[in-house]
Amino acid sequence: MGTLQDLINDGNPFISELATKAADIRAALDAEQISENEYVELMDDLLDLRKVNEAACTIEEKIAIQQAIETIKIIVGIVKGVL
Amino acid sequence: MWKQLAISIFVFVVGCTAITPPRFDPIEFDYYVILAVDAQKVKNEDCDDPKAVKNHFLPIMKEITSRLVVYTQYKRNDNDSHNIAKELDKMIDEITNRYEASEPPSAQYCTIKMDLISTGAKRALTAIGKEK
Repeated sequence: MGTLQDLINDGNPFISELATKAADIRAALDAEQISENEYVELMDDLLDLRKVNEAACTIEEKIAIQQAIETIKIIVGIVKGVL
Repeated sequence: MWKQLAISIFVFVVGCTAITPPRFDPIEFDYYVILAVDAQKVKNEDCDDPKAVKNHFLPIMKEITSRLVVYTQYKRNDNDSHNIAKELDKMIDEITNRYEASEPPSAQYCTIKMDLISTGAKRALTAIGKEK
């Protein structure tokens, strides 16, 4: 499994942006700028944006984004388990 | 000869929509421009003012996403557009619900939420723009 940092460094701008935003949301939680409840909602929104992203992508990009989303979901799932 | 005949029969049977890309839609495009600009403005300037967000900006943004949902619902052969509109409308509902609670959400929540809404609207613009 890759890390968020791996995804941030991905060549695909959609994936880099998704991963950067996931890292920003996590940082806001760690700094107690948002509540756990807000964190879960914002992460769900971020993952739901894939529908929007996919509409703007080629088939190859869709596949790459789906794989990246699965990685982010796993990371978010681990985080949710910790909370 | 057979190839040309097959293409002619295909076009005759299924019509030109099967081989013509969807037309650029300036109405839908305009809605997303307004949404992206509004969300960006709130993110940059207004998240520290919960009253302004709740009473001024969110009602305007809800109006836009509501129109988009209905507009795209009745567009032909365009489920992608409708799904995008519903997703953004749901995000507006979520943030509105938080501002209607007794305690407003954190400014950082507002900033991130508006950033996600703006990103979604800009992605939608990219998708629509590609269909030219």
